[in-house]
Amino acid sequence: MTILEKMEKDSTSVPSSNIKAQVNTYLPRTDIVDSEEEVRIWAEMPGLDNESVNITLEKNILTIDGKIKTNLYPEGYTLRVNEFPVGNYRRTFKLGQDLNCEDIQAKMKNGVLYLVLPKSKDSGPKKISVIAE
Amino acid sequence: MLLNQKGNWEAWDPFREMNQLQREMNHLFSGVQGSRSEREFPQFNVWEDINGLLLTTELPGAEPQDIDIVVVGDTLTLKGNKKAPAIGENDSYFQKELFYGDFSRSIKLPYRVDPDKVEAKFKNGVLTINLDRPEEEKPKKITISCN
Repeated sequence: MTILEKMEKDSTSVPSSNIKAQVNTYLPRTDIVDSEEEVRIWAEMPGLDNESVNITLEKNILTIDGKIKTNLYPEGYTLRVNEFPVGNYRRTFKLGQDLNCEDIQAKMKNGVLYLVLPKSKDSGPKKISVIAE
Repeated sequence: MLLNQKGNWEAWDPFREMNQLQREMNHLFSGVQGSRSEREFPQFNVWEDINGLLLTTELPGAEPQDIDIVVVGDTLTLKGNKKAPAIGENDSYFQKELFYGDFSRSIKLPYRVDPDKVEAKFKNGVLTINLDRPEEEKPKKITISCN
């Protein structure tokens, strides 16, 4: 093996088994929009498809959980510039009582999870009129 | 006298001033650097192997037709647009962390790449760009002959 080959080998072959072990979890960036009839949530989870996202609702705690499936370390490559981390996503939201938790819709497109949480009909805004004295 | 001189030599650090200057510069720019990294969107991870580079960048919510990749010599420019979803007149943001709008970033590559051999794919909001290292840029193995 020539020195050049060795140098190349030493610098490129970080044993992938050593670095695979740790996968961190990050908070997905989220927008929440409140409308009259529903609450909409957009959560950015790049790298994940619909099958890698789990949504659970326990009492009024909504949890979105994304597990990254893609290989974090492409085989044979060395990481030269690392500007963003890659990992799993997890975030919890406390829902208000006025949401209809049965009819939550969830969609995944281009790495963004989109949730629609309809508000219960009966607890719509009540207008209170002020009487002049 | 000799001892004193030796002592002075040991105390003298030719890099002290440079280090000091660097520390001051870092301090001076630390604030700017923070905001600069925020402005630099999208962010890249760059992977390398002997045959070229693999760039990954996260563009969640973008549509592939709204992303442009231009490679000239050793500079790669990525630009595009992320369209914001429609929000009703009476809707209000409870929380706003996502970025929408135009973006553009140019990055310098370690060598010139062949623009015809650039491959890009967009999947689940992650853009992957494969750049081929031209033959003349590849490290050469030199065989040593001994007679």
